[in-house]
Amino acid sequence: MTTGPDTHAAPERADDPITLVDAEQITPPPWPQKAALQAVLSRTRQLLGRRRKPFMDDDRLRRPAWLDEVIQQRSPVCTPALNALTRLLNDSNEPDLRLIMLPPCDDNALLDTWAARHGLDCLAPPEHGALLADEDVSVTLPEGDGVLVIPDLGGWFLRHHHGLRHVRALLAQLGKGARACIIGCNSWTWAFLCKAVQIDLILPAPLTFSPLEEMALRRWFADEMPETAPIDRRFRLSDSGRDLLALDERGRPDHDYFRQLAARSLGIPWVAWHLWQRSLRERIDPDEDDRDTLWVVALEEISLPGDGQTEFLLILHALLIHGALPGETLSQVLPDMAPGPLLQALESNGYIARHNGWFYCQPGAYPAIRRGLEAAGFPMDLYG
Amino acid sequence: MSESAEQGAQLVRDLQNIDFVEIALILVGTWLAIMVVRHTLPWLAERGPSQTRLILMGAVPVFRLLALIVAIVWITPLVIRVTLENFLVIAGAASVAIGFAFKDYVSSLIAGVVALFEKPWRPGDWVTVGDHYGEVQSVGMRALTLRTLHDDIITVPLLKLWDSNIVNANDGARTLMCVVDFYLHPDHDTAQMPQALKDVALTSAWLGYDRPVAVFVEQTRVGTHYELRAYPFEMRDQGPFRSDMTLRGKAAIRALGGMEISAPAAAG
Repeated sequence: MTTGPDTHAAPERADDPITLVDAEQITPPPWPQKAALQAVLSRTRQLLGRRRKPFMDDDRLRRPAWLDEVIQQRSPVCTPALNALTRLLNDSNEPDLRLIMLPPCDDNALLDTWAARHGLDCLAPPEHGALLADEDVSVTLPEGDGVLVIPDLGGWFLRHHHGLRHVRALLAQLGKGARACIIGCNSWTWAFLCKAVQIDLILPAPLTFSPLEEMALRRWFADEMPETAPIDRRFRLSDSGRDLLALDERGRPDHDYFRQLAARSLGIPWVAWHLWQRSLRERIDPDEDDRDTLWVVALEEISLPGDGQTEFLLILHALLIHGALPGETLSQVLPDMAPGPLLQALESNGYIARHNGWFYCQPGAYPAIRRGLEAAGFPMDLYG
Repeated sequence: MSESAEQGAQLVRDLQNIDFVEIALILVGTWLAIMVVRHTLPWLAERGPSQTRLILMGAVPVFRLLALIVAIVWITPLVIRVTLENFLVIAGAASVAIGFAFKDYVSSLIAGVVALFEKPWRPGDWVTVGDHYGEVQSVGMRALTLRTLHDDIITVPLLKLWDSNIVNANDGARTLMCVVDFYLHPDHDTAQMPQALKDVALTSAWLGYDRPVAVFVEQTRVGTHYELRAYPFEMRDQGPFRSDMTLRGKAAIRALGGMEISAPAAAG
């Protein structure tokens, strides 16, 4: 890879929490045995139509009002992931074209952020309205010496019979090898584009971030929490009262919360962050001692509304493939159906959210969404 | 005692030695087990992951056969003195009864057993038997039931196995090929049309990614015939998948200036 104007050069170290690895080799963090059994039990209960009593019913805890606002906001930018990209940029053995398969539900436009920090040229996708316009399509790569970043291929196509022209034209240009490029797309986009335009022939062997494991997740949380909590807070597990971030004498957490979180989030940092945010509570009648304490309750098994009706799943699948879509475009990438009421149901249940009229899947709901899609037999992504 | 009476006494145990309660319990237990499995497994198959659906549904007839074999093997020595001579006597008597009275029923039973091994149909498969196409809902002792795309239930005797062609669209797989035909006026852009129709399938929300999409073109007497072949990710969605490809295929044809014409059959 051609080196850009980087001043943050850092060689890869054994203790780097995130590295870039072959996307085909990705394996999610393992479940702790007890948590895995609980998850199976919970899913069996759902199958039999019996719902476990939710932890929210605990009358001593409540969800802090300010958290609802925080959840709508983005997770902190994942610095270990940015560092991994920087190491890639500085690797002189890298090929000129490299695709980074991002884990889904990235709410920080990671490649955009990284490219901006390094002053790299970015190629923006075409105007959304142009994707289906009845015009000739031509794509030109901007001239320049440094690495060109194409942050998100999800903006270059629509899953519509007339919506693949731009991405095909882009891939044709990339195939000419005129300029070194780092191209980003999420794992669902990648799966779709492999089928629709055979992107894997032009951009083989994509790299992706290694899943964030228990210790790396804890460390990232410990680094980021002071930045995001509104005041100085303590985080304690509601089932044991243990400090969430405390370590035992071996330097490991004395609970398996982070191991569960890593497994449940598939090792995706922003998904883990949002799952954690969803599990925060505060006491209704706090003592002096725990006035600044936030209680971390057990991670909930959540399932899709309406027992995963196909229409819900079709919407969620389309949103994952495109990253985000405006409501009016959504109906163009779906079969003959009216998505309006379904979108409202998904939004009110916290599975999707809306920003400036664009819908996207909530990172905190992603594990449930993925499980629902897998159970219904939808084509799956590689990350998980 | 006469010789034939002695033979009869040797063939069947003395009435006072036959434990009718045990036999009744075995029969009721077997029937209950079959009923539970027959209702539970399809119920679980409908609600569980789609990957396990065919396995669960296919297990029902296998379980029933095993349960019946166990029950027969269990009951037979309770009623009959099991010797080679007795077996031959019973087989002879059974042959006469079957030959005259229960020929079709037994033939269906045997067809059901043969079908378990030859697998021309399995619960969950999409098959055509005679003029009927549908999903195999259940395979009974005498007949199977098909649910058609129009939601009709059709009962097909298993006897059909002996003298009918059975067309199995998925043959145990979780998907099946869907074909959509378009007949176009020959004057159109043949350079772009195949790719445009292929894109119709490639961008369908129902498409399965692990099977190929293909477009075949042939010139027929009445026009250019395009055949679009693709696989949905779940075969039960074949109706919506075909419908989606048809609607969007028509739009793609119009966008390229193509004009559909009547199918050959309609054109006479």
